[in-house]
Amino acid sequence: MSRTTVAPAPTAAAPAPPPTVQEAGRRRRRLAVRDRWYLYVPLLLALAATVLPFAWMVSGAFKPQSEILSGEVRLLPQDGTLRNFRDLFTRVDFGHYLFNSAVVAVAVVLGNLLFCSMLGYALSKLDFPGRRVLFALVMTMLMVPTVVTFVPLFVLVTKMGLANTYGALILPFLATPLGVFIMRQFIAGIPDSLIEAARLDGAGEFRIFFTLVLPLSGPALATLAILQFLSSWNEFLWPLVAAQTEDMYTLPVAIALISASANSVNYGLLLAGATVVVLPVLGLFLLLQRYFVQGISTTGLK
Amino acid sequence: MADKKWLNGLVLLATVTLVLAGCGRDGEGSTDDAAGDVSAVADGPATGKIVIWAMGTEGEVMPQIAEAFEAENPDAEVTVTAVPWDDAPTKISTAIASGQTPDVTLINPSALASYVATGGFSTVPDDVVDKGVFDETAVAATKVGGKAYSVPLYVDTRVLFYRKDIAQKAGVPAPRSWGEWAGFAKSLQDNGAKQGMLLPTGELGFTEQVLIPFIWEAGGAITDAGQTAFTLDTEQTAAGLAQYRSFFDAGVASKTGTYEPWGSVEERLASGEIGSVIQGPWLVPSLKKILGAEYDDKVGVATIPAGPSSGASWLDGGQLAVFRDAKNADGAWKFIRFISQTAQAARFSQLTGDLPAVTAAWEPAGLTTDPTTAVFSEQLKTTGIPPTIATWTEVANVFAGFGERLARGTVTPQEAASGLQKELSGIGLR
Amino acid sequence: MSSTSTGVRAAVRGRAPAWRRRQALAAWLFALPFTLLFAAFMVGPLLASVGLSLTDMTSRDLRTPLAVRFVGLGNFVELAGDETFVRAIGNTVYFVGVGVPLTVAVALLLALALNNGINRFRSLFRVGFYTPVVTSIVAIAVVWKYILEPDGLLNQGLGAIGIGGPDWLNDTRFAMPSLILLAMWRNMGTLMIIFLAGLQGLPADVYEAARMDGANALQRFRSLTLPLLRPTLLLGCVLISVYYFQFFEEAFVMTEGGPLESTLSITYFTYNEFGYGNYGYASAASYVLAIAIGLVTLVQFRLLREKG
Repeated sequence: MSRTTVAPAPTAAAPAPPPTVQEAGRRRRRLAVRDRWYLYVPLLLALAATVLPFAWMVSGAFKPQSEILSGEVRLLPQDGTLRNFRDLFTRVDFGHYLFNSAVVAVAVVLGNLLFCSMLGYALSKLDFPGRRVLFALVMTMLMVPTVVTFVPLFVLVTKMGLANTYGALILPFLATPLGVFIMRQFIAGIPDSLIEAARLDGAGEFRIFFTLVLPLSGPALATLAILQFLSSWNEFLWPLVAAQTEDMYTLPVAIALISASANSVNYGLLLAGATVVVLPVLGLFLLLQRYFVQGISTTGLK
Repeated sequence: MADKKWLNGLVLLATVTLVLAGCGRDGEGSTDDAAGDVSAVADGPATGKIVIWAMGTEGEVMPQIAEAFEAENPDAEVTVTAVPWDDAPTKISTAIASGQTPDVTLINPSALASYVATGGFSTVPDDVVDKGVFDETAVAATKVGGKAYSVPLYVDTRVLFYRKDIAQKAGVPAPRSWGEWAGFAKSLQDNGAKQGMLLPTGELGFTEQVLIPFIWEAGGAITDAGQTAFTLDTEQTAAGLAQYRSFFDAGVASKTGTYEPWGSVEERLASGEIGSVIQGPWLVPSLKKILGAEYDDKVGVATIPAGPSSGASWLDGGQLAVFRDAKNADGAWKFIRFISQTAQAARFSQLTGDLPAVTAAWEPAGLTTDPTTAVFSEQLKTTGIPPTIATWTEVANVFAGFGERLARGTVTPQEAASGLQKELSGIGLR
Repeated sequence: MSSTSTGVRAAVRGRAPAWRRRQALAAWLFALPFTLLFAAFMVGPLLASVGLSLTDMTSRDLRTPLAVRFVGLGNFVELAGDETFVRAIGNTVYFVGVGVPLTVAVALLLALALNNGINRFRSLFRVGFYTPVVTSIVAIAVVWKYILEPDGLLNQGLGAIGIGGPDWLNDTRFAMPSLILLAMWRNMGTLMIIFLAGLQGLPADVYEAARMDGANALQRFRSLTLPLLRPTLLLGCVLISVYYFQFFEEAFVMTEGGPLESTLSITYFTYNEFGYGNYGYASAASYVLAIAIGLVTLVQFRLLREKG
């Protein structure tokens, strides 16, 4: 994924940056792994230690319950089985929960991308009364622990008649302060001259936003997409409470339900469920990781 | 944060709104108003949609009873939503808070009073079921302040499971009294079990269920008869707690014992990691599954060894309650009436492995011939009912905390008895 | 905090008021969807909970929420005298005080190593170090309990080099360090990416000059990288502090706040009180946390901003 050999295609939009450490490094790049063993060896060890629990989770998904509980340390399953995965899809309507989770996560991501970037643009490039107050308010909410608003939020959602609907699962997560922070910081970095030029050409604010600002905000949008997808996908407590019938459950709730349905935990099933759940997120990260770094880079330096 | 003024303004606004709204309760205990309760269930078959929340195995098999119900009541449609046990309290209390509830939910007796205190459950209409068909203690556990708020579905209590083969090798019979108990556990430990017994320490949901019976067995009580005050700072409490602690001091139980986190109780008993444990009836099918034909040789079951006063054990079980905000209370009560019929209760028991609260259902469910069940049946005659108080979860957590301190030896039984009294009195009963 | 580009301001000032009104209108249209959702689903419930914290509301009042008693700051006074809450504050401070510097340091080390001469397997490293972030907490609980068991993976590993490890999660001295280790493992991936991004934006010519002047790697790190990276470090520290102050999940799935309340955090305390139905009291406790987070964030801004 890294672009060490391919020259980056110059995007018309990107303001020409000064040469960075990374680019300077590229000139001296052809160093073999051997010359840098003192970096690679500790890093690989750290990587192994970091990935080990993850690997054990995946491996456990293929183990029968008895082998997981035997206490023996064995990374590869001795008695590999697909039963946990089969159970996952046959014992419950796992496909349906997958669908629910996907609907909710996609709606949450898209909503945040649009609404947070719209507000981010207004906050960073437009002047309007109440701007400072609004921004301060949003930033303050960044620091409020989620437990604080849980019960009042639930009462609100049910009074709105949204209990047990997709709306209940989606709406409370459409406006996240972190998203505004990221988008505002990023858009502030887009040169004013570009926007002024568009204005002089007679473009309205909405046209500027959709045809100029949004296309330039790719990295920040990718960052936001990953973060929002991750939090929506793994959210447990809210869907548990907001979904009142099983057909509205999302994946994490369904997994909690089936893995602990009897009086003891079915570890194999739980790990299989967790493995299935993690795949889309990991895939998304793989896909967007380069933009992710860029997005944070531009945001963090403001 | 440049602008702080807005925040001050908003706080002020919220405060004023609250004050203007006229705070202050109109008298304590306003929950026993009968509004919303139905006194009788209408005649004729049930109609409309009935939504039921059920947890665990019961939640998995409830749809089968629902199908039979729908066959008899063609105009009714039952939806069963399975809920994880651990998360049920959150779900139920948020539902009550919003008024957006299902019609029926399964609950534990110990949780009943706290929901009743919110006014979330209806009282049971007189003509739903004949109370005489149920186990007496199970019926007693459905009452809060003298009124019944739920109908018992199944009962369970805790007995002593032990490794019969190891006990035979050691030549010791199952203990009948406190005096024989520690020696029994020691013999198991000396003859192959890694730990003589497993006692929960600090684990909420288990510790209080094992710890409190020790107090009962010593003749103590958690509250006075009217459940108006805690009565724990007594010699009997201290004696019960001392008995619990003695197993840790003697080294026959792990000071950090837990039932749940890693490796289930049944796996550990089957593997000999523990020699004995106090557990409920659901352990039987799981043990049979692990041990197969070896079950009869390896697993012994006995009633709880008696203390100076009794051999009381914890009474638990499942009950069905109807929400006051239920959209179809009539249908809900009719479903409860249906599942309380002997034939349905027996079928439900066969599907779940539960002991039915309907005593007549034991025979058709095939429970009267089973020797293990006989022990549970015997134990059910000597059980204590956990107090039906609104603050139960908080109270149970304090018990669990003292259990942990006793096990680790950081408090004496006397200190624990007075500590319990002091902390629990601070929490109160309602 | 806010820094609208002066260019826009100047331009706006020069124009006719009508233009300005149009821009303000457009801005509010942009802000409207977010603001409506934000007001309904965040500010509204927040205000309700502020109100809640000033009352003695419990679950017994759920169906008649307006019939509660107004107790002013009574809940906060009671909290100050609550031994368990005071212990929870201590535990939270311990977790944040050790966890934040440790996680920041490890993430920075990883980012520096990855940024200085690692040109093979870059994606592998990035994704590898990020896997803990995406793993769901239920799976983490199972796997880490297995690792930290008395005869689990960690102690077997320690045993191989002759060290007898403790019963990590059941020992009051080791439970918190274990959870800090777990939190570090879970969060260093995110911070590493943030720092990596910051490092990649540093100007190369300054480094070349420093190298010419004969500055060694350590000197370059101390006098160039650290000061230049200050804004990124600030972002990372603030994000991780806000998150660590809300320390809950790890303790919830691993220790349930034990042993002997040694891993009970403020959020955990709040969660418990909500569970007991003491809503007013729980809300008050959560505001203590919110205020603490706000203060620490301010201090961090001061410390890391001024010197830059």
